[in-house]
Amino acid sequence: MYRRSFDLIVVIAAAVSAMCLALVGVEYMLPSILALLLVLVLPGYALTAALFPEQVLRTEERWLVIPGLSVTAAVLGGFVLNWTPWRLSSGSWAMLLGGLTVAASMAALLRRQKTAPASMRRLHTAIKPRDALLFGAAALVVVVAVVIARGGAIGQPRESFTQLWILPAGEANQDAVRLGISNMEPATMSYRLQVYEGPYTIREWPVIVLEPSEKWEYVLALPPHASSPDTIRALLYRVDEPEVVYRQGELWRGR
Amino acid sequence: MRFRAEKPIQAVGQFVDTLRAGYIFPALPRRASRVEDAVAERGWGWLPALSLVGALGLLLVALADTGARYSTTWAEPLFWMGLLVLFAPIAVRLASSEAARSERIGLVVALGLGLYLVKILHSPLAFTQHDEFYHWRTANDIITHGRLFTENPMLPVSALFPGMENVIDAIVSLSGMSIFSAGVVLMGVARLILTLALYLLYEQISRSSQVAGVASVLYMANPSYLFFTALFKYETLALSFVALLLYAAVRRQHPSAHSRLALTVIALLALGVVATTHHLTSYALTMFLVLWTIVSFKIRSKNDLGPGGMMLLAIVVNLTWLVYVASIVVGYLAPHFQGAVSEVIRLIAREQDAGRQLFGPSATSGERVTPLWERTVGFAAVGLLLLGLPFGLLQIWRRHRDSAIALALGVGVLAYPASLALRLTRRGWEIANRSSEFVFLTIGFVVAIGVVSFMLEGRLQRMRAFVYGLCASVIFIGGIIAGSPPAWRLPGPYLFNSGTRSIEPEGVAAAEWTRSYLGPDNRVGAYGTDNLLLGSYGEQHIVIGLSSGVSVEWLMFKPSLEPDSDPLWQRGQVQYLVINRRLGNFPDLASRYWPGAKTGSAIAKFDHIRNVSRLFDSGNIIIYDLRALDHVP
Repeated sequence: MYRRSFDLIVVIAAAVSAMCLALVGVEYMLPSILALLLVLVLPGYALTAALFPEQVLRTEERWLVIPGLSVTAAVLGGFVLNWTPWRLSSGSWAMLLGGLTVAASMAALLRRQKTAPASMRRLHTAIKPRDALLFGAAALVVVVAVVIARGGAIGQPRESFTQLWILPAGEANQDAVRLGISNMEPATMSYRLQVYEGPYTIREWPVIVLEPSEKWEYVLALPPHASSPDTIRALLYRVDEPEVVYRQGELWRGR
Repeated sequence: MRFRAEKPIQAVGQFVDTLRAGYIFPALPRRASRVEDAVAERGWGWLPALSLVGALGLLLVALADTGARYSTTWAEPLFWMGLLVLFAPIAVRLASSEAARSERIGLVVALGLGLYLVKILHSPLAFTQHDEFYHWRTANDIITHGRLFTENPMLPVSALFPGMENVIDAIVSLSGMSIFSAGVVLMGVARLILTLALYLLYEQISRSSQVAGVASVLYMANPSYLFFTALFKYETLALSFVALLLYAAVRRQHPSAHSRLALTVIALLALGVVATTHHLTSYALTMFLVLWTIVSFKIRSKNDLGPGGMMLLAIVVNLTWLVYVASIVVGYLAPHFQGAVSEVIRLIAREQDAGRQLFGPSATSGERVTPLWERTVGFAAVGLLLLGLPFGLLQIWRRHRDSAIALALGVGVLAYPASLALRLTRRGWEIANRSSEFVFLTIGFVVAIGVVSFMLEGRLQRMRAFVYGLCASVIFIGGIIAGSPPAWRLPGPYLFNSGTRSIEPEGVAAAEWTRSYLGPDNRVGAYGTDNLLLGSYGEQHIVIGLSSGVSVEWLMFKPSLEPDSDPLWQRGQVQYLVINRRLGNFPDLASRYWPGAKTGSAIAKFDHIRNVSRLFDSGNIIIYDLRALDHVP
């Protein structure tokens, strides 16, 4: 019985490990592979073993039923968790899926004690060296294809851009403004930034140098405003094109 | 044989009895089962070699995708070549009588997963298709809030069928993977389930692994298979479980089936998954179960495990979910069907402006003229399927008339000609396209039965298999032409408001900026694809329609605006407006809403409205703050 159910012992061990890691309470502790097994394989394997203790399913049926039942456990289990105080979290998922796996495995162990395994013709799975070589080559080519596709997507020529923003930083636009620039161009950029209230210059930054993907932010205190509403304008220029307004923002101050 | 009917209905009944008695088409003995191919174990046969060939096909597709990003002229021919290299050799081999069962299963799985990878190669870094963003939002909301049934302003009904997102939440929560990575894995598993379940279902019904292989390939030739059925959306997962349910339900009927109770449990669980994952798939499944039950009753099937119980349960479960959880489904689905049906009626009545031009310009194809070869292959694909149907139906009647499921599939295939009529209409095209993934469940089986019996039997087996492979390839390519607009097939340079071609870093960055600096769930108005990005990456409450049903575009393109007195403005309560300056490249777009209006000046008006702040400028995308105006919360 032990040899016959070694698979279930491994499944229980894996599920218990996953539950313990989750109970420790550190998020994303589980390596991705183990997590994927816990969601997509282990519950289905245990449920399949419990439902079919005679092990009568053919190989291809197991490839179908195991992920099918695993996904089913997650789909329907999510509704169960939603109505518990713990809701949907890594801990509750680990307890649900791990607990289900352990329970189903125990049930399978008990049922297997009472039944004899059926003699079912299995799908041919032996692989000759030549076949293994061809399969390996195929897998390698697929990997290369994915790498090429990803590389193409990453390197695709796209329009680059610079972001400028101006936001209120205090109460009702009156105290301060948050300014920000983000360089999403492929090269280091040098900018000049001017901030106006009405016709008057409040502040100027002659040169702001940003590397690609670098961001600049500043909270600028504003002078007390006049009684009538006025605008705070931010004009961004490229140092290499000083006459052309590259980006602009405008904030209405007060009402 | 004489008919003595007093009423027409009696005449029909007598005619049917005549058919069943075999006077016109006598029943033929059921072919010896080929499931016992396992007896003749010939190893993996051509599977290893064809796996390598298929992988080379994927490599060509990847090169085509990369070339398309640089607008090379060789990208498209290479794309088609890659698909054919992947598809055709496997299709030919599956038609051969020499392949062992294990090899057939391996080939079917390899082809199914290979075709799934085509979609991944197209978008290897992030989701790019319209529907995927809706479900990304639902999944993200569940992950963020830790509970189900959140509000999804992009697709409200999506949040009420969160089956798929449950699994995504589990994967993401436990592994830390991104939603995209988790989605790729889950949809791959769904594809595996669908592929295996269909093969085993067809094999169980036909008792022939050759028929099952051919039917599986024909299913993969449906217009939705390559891209639409691979998308990250609830329908994809639900469809897989329909196949699983049907397989379990049919399998348990077999006299030698072990553990009928266990198979029944699997079928019931699959029903639960389908009902909580996608509305239309669940309703389509229920309709098929009704059909199957009726057929079972009519042929007085002696099988005590008929589908009647499953049918009743499906009706109860769907009604319960509809009434207590997702009543908005009716309002969501009804307009689509009403619009399509009314357009068909208008088309039949030859009203002006009814119908659509086949292979004509569209929002996604632009002014591209569909090449002659595409039109030819597109029509040829339909023609071949229609040609194969009568042969398949005949064989079903001759050899499988005692099988209720086979007869039900034969009846269900009649939905295909009806779906072709929908393709002639603008509003029905999408319904027809989406329905193909259901309808082809029947077509694959029916045509395969006919193909194996009439085309693949006899002398010159290899030649016959080759000719079949050629026909299957035409159906496959024709399906892609019909089901996937040109802009979907290959990536490429940015195209404004063209779905997948409009997803670009500036739009994504602007959307992410709104989430970071404005916070989530603001009422934001935008145009076209920007709505998708703001609703998903930005987590904003996008205002697709103002409360009266008028869209934000009316506000955007109005030549002038006095917010304090404008009723249109006051209804909207839009807090932030996102303007894409590329709209100015379409100067006459505004005149569709306001006669005589020019797009450029219309969208520029917001720079001159008092109390409207220009918060964000990234060159093409401007974000305005409208909250200082009256009537905005």
